[in-house]
Parts: sequence; C-alpha cells; structure tokens
Amino acid sequence: MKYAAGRLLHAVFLLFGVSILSFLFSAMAPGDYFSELRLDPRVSPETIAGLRAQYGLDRPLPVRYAAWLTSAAKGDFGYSLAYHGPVGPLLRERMRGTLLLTVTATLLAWLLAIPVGIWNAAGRGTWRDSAASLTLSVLLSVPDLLLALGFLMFAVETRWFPIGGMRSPGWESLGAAERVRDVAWHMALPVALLAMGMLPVLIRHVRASMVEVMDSPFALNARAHGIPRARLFYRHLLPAALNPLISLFGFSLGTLLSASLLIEVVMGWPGLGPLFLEAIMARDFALVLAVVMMSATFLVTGNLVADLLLYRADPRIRVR
Amino acid sequence: MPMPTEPSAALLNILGLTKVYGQRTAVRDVNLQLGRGQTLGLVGPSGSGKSTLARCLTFFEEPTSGEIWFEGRNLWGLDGRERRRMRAEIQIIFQEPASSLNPRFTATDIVAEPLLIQQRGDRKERWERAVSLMETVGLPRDAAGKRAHEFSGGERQRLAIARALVLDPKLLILDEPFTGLDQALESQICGLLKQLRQRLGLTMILITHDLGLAAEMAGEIAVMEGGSVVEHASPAELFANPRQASTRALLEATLALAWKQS
Amino acid sequence: MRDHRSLGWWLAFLGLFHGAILLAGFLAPYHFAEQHRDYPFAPPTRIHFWDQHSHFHLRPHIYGLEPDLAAGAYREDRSRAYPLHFFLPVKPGDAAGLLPLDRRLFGVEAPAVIFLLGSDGYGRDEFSRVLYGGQVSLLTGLAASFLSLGLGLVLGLAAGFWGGWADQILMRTGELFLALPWLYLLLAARAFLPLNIDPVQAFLLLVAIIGTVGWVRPARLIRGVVLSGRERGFVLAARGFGASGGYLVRRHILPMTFSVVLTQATVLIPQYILAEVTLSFLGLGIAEPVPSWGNMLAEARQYHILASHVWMLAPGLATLPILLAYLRVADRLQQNATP
Repeated sequence: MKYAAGRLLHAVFLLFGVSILSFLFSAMAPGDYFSELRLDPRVSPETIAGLRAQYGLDRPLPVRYAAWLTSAAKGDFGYSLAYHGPVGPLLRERMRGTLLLTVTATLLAWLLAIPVGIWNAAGRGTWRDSAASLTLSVLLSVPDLLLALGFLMFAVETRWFPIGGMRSPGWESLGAAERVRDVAWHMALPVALLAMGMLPVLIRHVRASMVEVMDSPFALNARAHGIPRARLFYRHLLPAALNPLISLFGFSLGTLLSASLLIEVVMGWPGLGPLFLEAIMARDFALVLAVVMMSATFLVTGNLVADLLLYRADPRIRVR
Repeated sequence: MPMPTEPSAALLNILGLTKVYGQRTAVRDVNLQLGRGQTLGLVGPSGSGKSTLARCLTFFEEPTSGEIWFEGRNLWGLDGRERRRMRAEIQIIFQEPASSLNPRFTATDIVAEPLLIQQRGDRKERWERAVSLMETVGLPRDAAGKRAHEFSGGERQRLAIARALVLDPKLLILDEPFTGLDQALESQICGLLKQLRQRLGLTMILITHDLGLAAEMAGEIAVMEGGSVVEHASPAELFANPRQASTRALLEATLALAWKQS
Repeated sequence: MRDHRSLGWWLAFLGLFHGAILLAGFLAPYHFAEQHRDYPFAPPTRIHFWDQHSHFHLRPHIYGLEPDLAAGAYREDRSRAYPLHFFLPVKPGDAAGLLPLDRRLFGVEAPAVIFLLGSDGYGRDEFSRVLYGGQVSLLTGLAASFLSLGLGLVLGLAAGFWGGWADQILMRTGELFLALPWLYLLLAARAFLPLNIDPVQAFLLLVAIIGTVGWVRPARLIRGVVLSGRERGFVLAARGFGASGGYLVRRHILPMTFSVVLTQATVLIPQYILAEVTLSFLGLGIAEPVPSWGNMLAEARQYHILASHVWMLAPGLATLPILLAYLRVADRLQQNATP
C-alpha cells in the first residue's frame, strides 16, 4: 500500500512538472492563434490586442497558469480558440477514440504475440528460428507510415473498408448490434495497423522471455516429469515469463501512443492525433497543452499500472 | 607495546588512529611506528581493520581522529599540492592485480601512468623509465607493447609492483598481494620483493592474513583484531610466545597449512 | 565468427547506401525541382535493349511518352528511340544537394524524359527526388543522432561521475522528458516554434528538436557505465597517484563508454530518420521545394493518387533497406556485447 501511494504521488508530481514546463513553453512560443490575423493588413493592432485581452492572453504567467489549473480541475482545460469552446468536451470525445483504438489493438497484439512467441521459442535453434528472426527484422523495419499508406491504398482499391471516421452517417438510427458492427468495421484497418506495428517487438520479447524460462532448472524439472508440451508452456512457463513482459508493456506504451497518433492521422480516425495536429497548425495553444497533458496522463498512468502489477507479481521487489 | 626503533629515526608514526563508519569502528586507536628500511607485517583476519588502515595512509579514507606523521609531516594536515606530492611517496599495491590494471592499456602505459599523472618527464623519458622498471621486476623488454589482459596473474602483479615503484616511493604498502596466486608464484614474487627492498632501500608494510608469509618478509609483526593492534613483536617472539588468542588462532592456521603442504 | 561476417555485409551495405545518397548529384538525372509539366504522374520509364526490330543494342534506349487520354495513362511512342547517354555534363546552375558534381551518370536528350521511378504531379522525376530527398532525411537522422549522443555523453558523464545533486537533477529532468510519448513530445516541441520557416532553418530546427528531445536514454546508459566504471580498481589506483577528475574521465572512463555510444548510434539513427520523415509528412518539417522522403510521401496521402500511381510510395520503400540494415547491425552489436 505504501508503495502504491508513493508511486501515485510521484506520478502526480510528474504530471504537474509536465504541465508547468509545457505552460512555460507555450507562453514563450513566438506567435499565437492570432498570428495569422496580424498578417492581415485590414486588422488593426488594437483589435488584436483587444482580442488577446479578451481571452486573457496578456495577463502575467502565474495568473494564467492558476486559471488554467482551475479550468482543468473543472474539466474544461481552458478555451479553444480554434473551436470556440471549452477544450474539455473535445478532449473527451477524441480521448475515447484513441482509447478504443489502442486498447483493442493491444489486446489483439498480445493475444497473437503470445502463442506465436511461444511457438517461436519452442522451435529455437532450428532453421525456422533464423528464418523467423529475419522475417521479424524485416517486419520491424517497415515504418508504420508506409504500412498505413499501404493499407490506405488497399482500402481504396478494394472498397472493403471505409476510409476515415468512426461511424457511418446515420449511425444513431441503427440498432445496438448494428452500431457496434459499424464502429468495428471502421476500426478494423486502424486496429490491424496498430497491432501489426506492435507484433514484431512483442513476439521477440515473448520468445526471449520464454527461452530464458525454458532453460531454468524448474522448467527442466517439469519436463522431466513428463508434463505435456502445451500445458508445460502455458501453465507453467508462461507465468514465470510474465514479469519482463509486464515491464515491456510499460516500456512500449510510449511507442503505442505515438504510433496511434500517426495512424489516426493517416487513416482519419477521430482520436487525439488529428486533434493535436489541427491545434498545432492553428496555434491553438490551449488545445495543444490539453492534448499534451492527456497523452502524458495516459503514459504516466499506464506506467504506474505496470509498476504496480510488477510489484504484485514479483515478490523480490518488495524486499526493497 | 615494544617500540623497536627510536622515535626520531621513524619514517612513519601513527598516533591514536581511529576510523568510524556510522555505528561500526573499523580502526580503533592504533599506534604504530616504522623505521626507514624496515618491513612491518600487518596480520589479522578479514574485517580486522587492516585495509582500512592502509586506506587512511594512502589518502583514500580520512581518519575520524588521530594523526599520521610521515617524514615528520602530518599527512592529513597537508594542502592539495603537498598532498599530491606526498602521494608519490606512499604507494599501495592492491589486492587484485587484474582489476587494478586497465585491461586496454599496454604494459608501458600502465607502468608509466603515475609519471604522466604527476607530470614528470616527457614521453620518451617516461617510456624509458617504464621499460627499465619492467626489467627490474623481471618482465622482458619486448612485453612492453602487450596489453594488460594478455599477461598472466603473476605477471600482472609484477606490473603493479613496477607501477608502484615508478615514482620512487619511500613507503610501499602491499594489501594481500598474493590472492589468486599459487604457491610457486608467491615465492617468486616474495623473492622479487626482497631483492627490491634491498636494492632500493624500501620501507614496506605487508598486509596479510598469512602469518607465515609475514614472518618470512617482515622484521616485526603487528596483529590486528576488531580494529585494534593486539600484539606487536618480532616474528620469533610471536611464534615462541603468542599472547593473544587471535594470534594463536592465526598461528595454528599457518602451521596447519604448512603441515598439509609437507 | 559467423556473426562477424554478417555484420560486415550489413555495414558494407549501409556504406553503399549512404554513399549512393551522397552521390545524388551524380546519380540523379535531374535537379529535384525540375518540372516536366507535360508529363505529370508518368509511370516508370521502360528501358529497352532490344529495338522494335528485335536487334540487340549494348546501349539501352527509351521511347518518348504520349499521353493516352482514353486509358488515363501514357503510351510509348515507338517512332523514335532515345539512347541513354552516360557521364553527361551538368548544366550550369543545375547542380544541387550536398555534393554538387559536374557530371551526371546517365540521362537522355530532350524532349524525352527518363523517369526510373515515375514522376509526380508536377512532372518531377521521383528517382532524382528520392536521391536528393534521401540526403535530407539521412542527414537529419545522422546529425540529430550526433546531437543526442553528444548531449547524452556529456550529461551522463557529469551525472555518473560527480553524482550528488547533478545526478538527481538529471534523473528528474529525464523523467519529465520521458513522461510524454515521443511523437507527442516531438510535435509539442515543434508546436512552440515558428511554423513558416525556410528549408535551411527547418533543417536546423528539426535536427535541434529531434536531437535534444532524445537525450534521455543515451544519458542514462552512459551514466550506468560511468557509475560502475568509476569504482574499478585501476581508476582508484590512478586516483591514488593523484589523478584529477578530468584525467580519470578522459583516460579511463570515456573509453568505457565507446561501445555503448556505438550501439546507441545504430539504434538512434534509424529512429531519427523516421522522425524526420514523420514530421515532414505531417507538414511540420522540411517543406517544398526541398524534397525529403517525408514531404514526398505527403503527396501520396491523397489516396486517389496513391491507388493509380503506386510509384509515389518509392520514398517510403527507400526507408526499408536502410532501416533493416541498421536494425541488423544493431542486433549484431548487441549480441557481440553480451556473449
């Protein structure tokens, strides 16, 4: 319990630190949402100054930060100049999109990686091992961007999957099962992309952990007892190999979120990614800040969960 | 405690040296004297404070209290520059020859390093001195370019000795110099040390748990236990009349070893 | 031993690839901005050794292009053959890129065009642009890696060697950097800087951002090496001779970091190349008219273009061999480090 409280406090401090730094940088950034307006000769400097004052952009930094914090506590996260409204609702909607995508893809990837990794580990030392290793390397070197463009091409050619969006028009009038099916259909390509991006690394790590466990005394013992192969791997060896895999989950979260950003943008999936990009282009710093905090929260929380899982799973850490 | 030499001729004078680490007292009120050209054997089981004492003498640890006088100067009262010069006078050879030499360095690099650090001589002079010392310790001249990891354990210890001598130290401290070396090598290096001692007039402190070795090399032996010096006598006296239980235990260990080997 | 041999092959391949990109000025038949408005989205030119009378010629030739409006594509105009010329002199003002040379490897007489990888919407040769674009993308990756490693080395050495509060500050700051997913961090850094900048500024900015943002992992690894290194026997011995901190770092500790720096380089370079490609693709990196693999792929993003003009994916495909090669080299180095 003490450990959990300590880690939680640490996470909160970290997020505070991120918010302060980001706020500082956004304040120091040259230009703002009204930069475009400034270029327009018809708009007078007074108008711009007035607009800035209206949105509180001319107040001293600590005041603005405090205001932002209170807004965040209320769930508003400041005011989006580009969307003319509080950032909060925008964020929530897109956050759901990203969560849906990443969670589904992660589950899919792990579900696939574990059996494949085990199969790979079982076949080590044979020629198929080196073939598999090379294949995985090749797959690893394919950048997500290229894969996404390829999938896009595939979608356009075959017209089997919709391109962009989470729902078809008229989604509200569908029945519950139909609704789910519609979203799943829209989600299929992005999820497949994200999962495929994760698979090579996961398979490699599952294989490595399994191999390590396979060589341990207790595994050899179990084999000597004549336990059948499948059971041996899944019920005896896999639990022992879990720890490094939990750590891996923590490490790969950052890459997962980054990959998700790119895929959302390319495939037109309404998640945090496209929102972020728009905010940057429009120099809508309130929105930029909010997305930054959201992504940091996801990552820090995910790592926290992984830490706690690891703590529970590995008694050795507790001794410290 | 018998004082084997007159105080005025003493090279090294340790007075009331104490070193405390938090709760643990590693060295407790130690008084020792060492005259020029003499060899002191510092004997005791592990954890008796021998290595800590050595570290206090070589500026690695600062004593909690007490004084160390070397050639009439208070070691721990020196400023930075003087301390640096004093470092050249007192040299130590560490326990494991392998780890105290940078495996990537060549033999001459290693032996000449103290000269480089103390900025003595130019490249050529340093190289010459290094090679000549290598020969002194019995290493062939053509091994000069070999890397440290290519030498055997015994050869590495010779390199460490050569390196320790390159600055012409007055006092040489050897901390368990024969760990990991077999009996034959041990006697070889012992012989080398005796030669060097005679040629260069070295004053030595030999730290070991082997009483027999100390008896062989040293003119007097100080037995340490639990941070204090519990007995201090010549080897002959010690063997004839061991006063402390710990001394007796050490003696038995040594004799048992000698018995096994005969 | 087998490992060392395959490492050699991959390194040779990397050298060859980088060399080819460096020699873009020689290998590319056209300047990267040269437009041929008559031939937008032309497919890759077919090279012939046998003419229409089935005679073999050692010197290959191509045919002119005729737009075929019915098929919405192009047709070969077999009325006239244009032979390939080699070692052509470069027209004045046409030299471009990192190593402007005065000869081109190959080309054809106007008005024929040779598009080895097809052309884009403005009729610009994709092959030339992939080469020149490669210079931008690879250079960004290499320069940013250099920056990251340099920063990581300095900071890791400082934190590991002097410890204390310097170490604490470093670790805490590093945590802040790692609190954001790397692409979000990169984009956020980019967001707070001016958007409309010229290509040279953009390049420097990208290198600065990508390089600075990635200092944490190298710094931590180096710090680890330094922490264990400074306790080694020979370091303590050197201290005993009166060595200063600077000497110890320079002579003993720095060489310990070399293998870590090398393996990190092979890991970072491909990541940073991809970072540039991603940023430019999203419109936040290098912009027209300077090509980079990223901004070239952005053109391919309009999927109706992509479907009918597959060669637009060429800059993306160009990343595959180089990423694979770096990956294999990194793997081998890792294997060799841990016997």
